[in-house]
This record gives sequence, structure tokens and C-alpha cells, in this order.
Amino acid sequence: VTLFELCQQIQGSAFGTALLESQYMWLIIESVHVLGLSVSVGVLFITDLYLIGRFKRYGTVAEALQSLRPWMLGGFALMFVSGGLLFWSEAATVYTSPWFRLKMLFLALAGVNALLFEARLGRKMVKWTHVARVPAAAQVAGWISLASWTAVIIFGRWVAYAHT
Amino acid sequence: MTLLSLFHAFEATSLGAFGRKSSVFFPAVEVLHLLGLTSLLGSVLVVNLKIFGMILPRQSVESVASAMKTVLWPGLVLTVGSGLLLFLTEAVKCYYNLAFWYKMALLVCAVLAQLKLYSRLQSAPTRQSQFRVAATISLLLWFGVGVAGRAIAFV
Repeated sequence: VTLFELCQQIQGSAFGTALLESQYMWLIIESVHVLGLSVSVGVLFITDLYLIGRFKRYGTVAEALQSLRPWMLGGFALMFVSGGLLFWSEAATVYTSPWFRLKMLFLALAGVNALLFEARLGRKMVKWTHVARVPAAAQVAGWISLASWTAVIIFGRWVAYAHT
Repeated sequence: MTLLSLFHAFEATSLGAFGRKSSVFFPAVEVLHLLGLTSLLGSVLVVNLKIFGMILPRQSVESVASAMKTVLWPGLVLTVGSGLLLFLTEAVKCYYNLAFWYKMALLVCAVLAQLKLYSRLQSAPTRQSQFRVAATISLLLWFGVGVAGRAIAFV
């Protein structure tokens, strides 16, 4: 089975078809995805701004990241569930979309960036009591996060436009 | 001059005509609208969560509010500016769209509530519990603006 055939089977499944044909359910899920995005990525942007030293007068990086993390993760869980449902109903349609592939690429980049940050710098965060102590690598991670999530939003919007 | 003829005039502007002719104008401006909204809602949520005492325990409400101000207002300017461009391309459609009017009314209330919240925070910073009701109202209003905005495309 190729990946495309798998996507066709996902979209063609009873649940995928029902979702695509149910006007209201699909619109509600899409709205949850779009509005939830502005909240979860919005909070993520704030943590990135702490990371790049934008809010140095308003608390440490560790404080901001630890305090905002549960809200961010909750928002992202909502994003993945609603996004997963949308994909279920359109898997084969979006599989061929170059914009969808770019979106997934930048989503992966954002994920790898976050994992590398946690693995290599996460435990050292508490020592960054002053902005001068935040290593350059952490600031770079903040910029990569800001850029890749912006790209995810841009290409995500373009997925919807490309096949209408 | 009626309101409808005014909306016809908005739609007839060269910018509106350009927006309708170009296939990338609308989605490109909508991306800006979405990025502005992301900055706006993210910072509003952080301010309001702080008012509820749920985040950043070592910072004061005023300090979180003044930090978020630098994201909140530019976010609002970007959202409203891009929203105006979107409006110019389909002003007459908006005139007949009930969700559009709900969105505008909610938007005015949300901005006024946010301004009021900020001015109260600056004048009476010590008593924070009284702001919880205001913060709840602010969140509900912004959520309403978002839902009504999405609904413009559906109704």
C-alpha cells in the first residue's frame, strides 16, 4: 500500500465521508482549529519572546516557560485532535497539495526544535537568572520557533485556498 | 447618503477592486489577519490568566499587563488593518451579513473592555480580585469576536 492509497482509504472511510458531508460538524471543527490556533500559538509566541530576551524585565525564561507550558500543551492537544479530524475527512485531497506538505515540514521543524531545546537546554534554564546568561543557542531556538510557526500558519491557510 | 451606498462606495475603491481581481490578495491578507489575531488573543489570554492568578506567580499583574501591551496593541492594529482590507473587497456582502454586524459590535465592546481593564489596572493596582469579572467578560467578548468572524464565511 502506498502512502497515497492509505490516504485514500482514510478519506474514503465511513467516518471520513460522514465528516466531510456533515456541513455543520466540519465547520465547527475547522473553527475550533482556527480559533484554538490563535490561542495556543499566541501563547507560544509569548514564550518565544521571553526566550529571545524581549521581556527581560518581566521575569526569567524558566519562569515563563514552566508557567505557560500547560496552557500551550493543552492548546496544542486541541490543535492536533481537530487537525487530525480535518485530515481524516480530506487525507487524499491534501496529500497531493504542496502547501500541505510544506505545512507538515515546518510543523516537523517546530517539533524537532522544541524537542532539541528541551533535551539540551531544558534543565539548564533555571540558571538563566539574567538575560546575559541565556545562551545564544536558546535565543536561536526561540527565533526558529517563531519563524516555523509563522510558516505553519501561512501554509495552513494556503491549503484551504489551493483546493477550492 | 445611506449606509448601503457608503458600503457600495467602499467596495468601488481601487483597493477593493484590486483585491477582488487578484487571486492571492484575499488569502494573503487573511494570513496577516490570522497572525495579528494570534498575537492579540495570545497576549489577551496571558494578561487574563495572570489576573485569575493562574500563571507567573512571581510577577505582578501590572508588570505582566505592561509586557503584553507591546504584543496586544500591535496585534490589534495588524488585525484591524488587514480586516479593513478584507472588508473593502466585499463590503456589500458584509452589509447583508448578520454575522458581520455581530462581529463589529462585539469588537467595539471587546476593545473598550480591554482599554477599561488596562486603565483600571494602572489606577488601582493593589486590588486584583475585582478584575476577575472584567477579565472573564474580556475573554468572552474576544471569543465572541472570533466566532462571529468565522461565521461571516458561513451564513
